[in-house]
Amino acid sequence: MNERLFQNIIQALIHSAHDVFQTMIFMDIQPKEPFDRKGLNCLSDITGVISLTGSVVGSIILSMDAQFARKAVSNMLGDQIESEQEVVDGVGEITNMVVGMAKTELSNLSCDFEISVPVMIVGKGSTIKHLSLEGSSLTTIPFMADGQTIFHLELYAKDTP
Amino acid sequence: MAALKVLIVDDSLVMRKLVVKSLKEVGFEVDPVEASDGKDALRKLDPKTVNLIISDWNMPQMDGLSFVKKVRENKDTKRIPIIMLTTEGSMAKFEEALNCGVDDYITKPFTPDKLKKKLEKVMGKS
Repeated sequence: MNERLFQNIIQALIHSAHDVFQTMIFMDIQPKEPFDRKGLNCLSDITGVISLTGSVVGSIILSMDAQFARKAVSNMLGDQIESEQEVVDGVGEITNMVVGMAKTELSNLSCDFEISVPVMIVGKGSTIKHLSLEGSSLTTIPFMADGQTIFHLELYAKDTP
Repeated sequence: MAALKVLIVDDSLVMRKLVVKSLKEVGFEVDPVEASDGKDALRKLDPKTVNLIISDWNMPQMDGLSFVKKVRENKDTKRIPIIMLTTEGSMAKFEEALNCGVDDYITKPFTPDKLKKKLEKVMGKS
């Protein structure tokens, strides 16, 4: 994939994650250095997956542990969580906002693609295999707050000819 | 003053809850009707009681834009103010929504104050 485009997507995701967490979850987060990984990912407890189609194809994955997910959704609602469904739904909405906001930033750079509604995966240690993206590298961006890694974003992408 | 009857259309129950909470936080008395997509919203839309619609764009079954078109085609519902609340933030999408009959547009993430300003603007127009 075009390296510059790939880096633009990573930067847009870092900006959007920061803004979403600051505006909706009232939390200041910092990105750690993104790193490339070959092979399968390893997901945490609750994961949102959004597919990309258009000038870029692939997927963006946001994954966090259950305890942090509860805290994030509770902060967002300013209230106690009423059910586990709310936690999963809330992580889906966080994924949706992060990817949607990055999409808007990228559209200003003439990188246009469509995004799916989030698909949610519940259960630690699951993996996602992208058959159509065989050979693509996987980049992971960890995010921290208060000195601890709290969630990570993963990007699988390739540009279309 | 009577409570504002708002039809909130979003496939995320957390987002629906957040919209209600945000409206209450900025001083509106709200009587919400919640729908999980456009089809569900059309079933729940009572033109005699609903004062305002706040709808997401990307939803399963019937998306927000298709829903807005249906509302605008119906003589009983065509004048109800509609705010689109979505992650779709490009100028092209904004113009597409306005052309379909949306009165105003808010991108997620949003603040309660931003929602209040948009709501006052569209309710003032109606």
